[in-house]
Amino acid sequence: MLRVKGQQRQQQPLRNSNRKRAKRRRRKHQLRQRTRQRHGVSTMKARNGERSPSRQKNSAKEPNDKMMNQIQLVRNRFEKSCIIPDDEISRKLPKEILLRILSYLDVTSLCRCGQVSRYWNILALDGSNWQKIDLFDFQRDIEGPVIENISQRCGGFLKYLRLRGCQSVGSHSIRTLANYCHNIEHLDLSECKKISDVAIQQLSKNCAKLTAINLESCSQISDSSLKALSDGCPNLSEINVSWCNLITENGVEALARGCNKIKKFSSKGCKQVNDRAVIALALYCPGIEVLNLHSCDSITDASISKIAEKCCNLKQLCVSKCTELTDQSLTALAMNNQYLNTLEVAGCAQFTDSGFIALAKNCKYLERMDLEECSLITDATLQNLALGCPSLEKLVRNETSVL
Amino acid sequence: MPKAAPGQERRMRITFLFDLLFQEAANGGHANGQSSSASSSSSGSGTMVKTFQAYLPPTNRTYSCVHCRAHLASHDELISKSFQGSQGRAYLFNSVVNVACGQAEERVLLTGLHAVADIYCECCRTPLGWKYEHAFESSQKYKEGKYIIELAHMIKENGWD
Repeated sequence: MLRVKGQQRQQQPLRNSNRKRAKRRRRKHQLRQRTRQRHGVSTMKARNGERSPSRQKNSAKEPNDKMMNQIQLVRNRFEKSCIIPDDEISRKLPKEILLRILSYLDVTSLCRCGQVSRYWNILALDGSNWQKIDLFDFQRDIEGPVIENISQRCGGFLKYLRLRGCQSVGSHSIRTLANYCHNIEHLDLSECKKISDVAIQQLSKNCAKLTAINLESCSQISDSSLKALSDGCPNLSEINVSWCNLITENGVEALARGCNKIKKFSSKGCKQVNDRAVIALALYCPGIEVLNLHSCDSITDASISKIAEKCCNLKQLCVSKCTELTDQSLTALAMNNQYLNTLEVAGCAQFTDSGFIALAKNCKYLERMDLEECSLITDATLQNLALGCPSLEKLVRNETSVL
Repeated sequence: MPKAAPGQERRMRITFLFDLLFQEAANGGHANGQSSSASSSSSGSGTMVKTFQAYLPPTNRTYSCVHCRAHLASHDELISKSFQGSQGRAYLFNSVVNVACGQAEERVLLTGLHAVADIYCECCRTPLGWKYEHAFESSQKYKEGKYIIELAHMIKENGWD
């Protein structure tokens, strides 16, 4: 570019300086505006020199309010990240560590922590802390709405729920629970007398991951619950239907067919559970380890022999008050179940020494035995047990106490 | 069930469990809490445990009512098994739970004249046996304040499973 001496050079600097000056002016004005906005002062010039004070105040407040609203919105959307706690501990510890600490607490402490501050409230009510809930100590206060609340809050996080003795809980609440908590694995509803088949049917529809269920003393439960469970919960490994008088062999057979992974089965006091039911268990659930048939007095040697034959992993057996049993059962157990560690045969009056001697020979791992009211046995049994079962810790026998 | 004030009921319905627990902890010696179990619940914590009936520690052998499975007595409280009741054998216990007493009457038993009060299960109201209030013969004095429960009404649980 040819430059004419003098003229253009003079022009250019002029333009530049004008431009620079204008730029500086603009910058200054912007800065002034910004500072005024920040401090809440009106950025509009007072034309007449007079303005009503209220109007001045309003216009001063507006940008402030808008900013505050925006901040609120942001806060509500990203609650955890924006709430800054006031206390030292919460500021210094990362929230993951706080969550881990809270995960070790029980229900009461967790609820108390939730009352400490807003920050702690959000952390304490986080689903990961509510995977295991035990409400046994609050029986009187647990009513339907509480369970419904819990289900909605915990949702898929809830895995273990113990409602033993919460007599006010009814089928409706359990249905809500089934609807929200699909991942529930362990459910203890013992002594909840109002629970009926409807609740269990709903559970079986929605909660396929159920592994343990306790329905002890839920007297309204009948065979249809067991059928529902066999359909919907194939992973069931522990079930307790003690004292549910309506349970018959049909229900147990259906359950055994559907749930082959059963390891613990308890039906104390179910008088209608007979040989057919136990044989079905033996055939379809060979992995059974704990079997409790206390007071199921129609059981005979046939079913116990079948159990002994098919279920090699049997560890605990209770057949107290099953008066029809004879030494044949004991011999069958002796032959097949060497891992037996607990045997309760209180009240089985037909057992004699020969059965126990056979048992003592093979079942080396016996730890606990209940032989009360087995009136035909003599010291020979005790001697053999002492020799054959070195791990025997607890032995219950008729005590000859004289007072 | 505790009678809650209207405001309290509403809160129970709307809010999460912690309100409920916080209320109960604050109340402490709530009237309902104290009358809930005839015998004090065996809980070590400061707050009152709100169960419908008393529970005995499951690690010991326990004797329960055969009709309703309420815990009656622990094996440690058993004094003697060689008693006779109207329906067969009976056990003598030092202390029992979930049991209520009737009025004391004077009766002539096998062992002499005694003042006994009939006891019954609090949960299902079945008569279980009796309590010795007063013994008129000095050899029977050891029975005073102890409870007889008939075997026909009891079921034994070892607590091994």
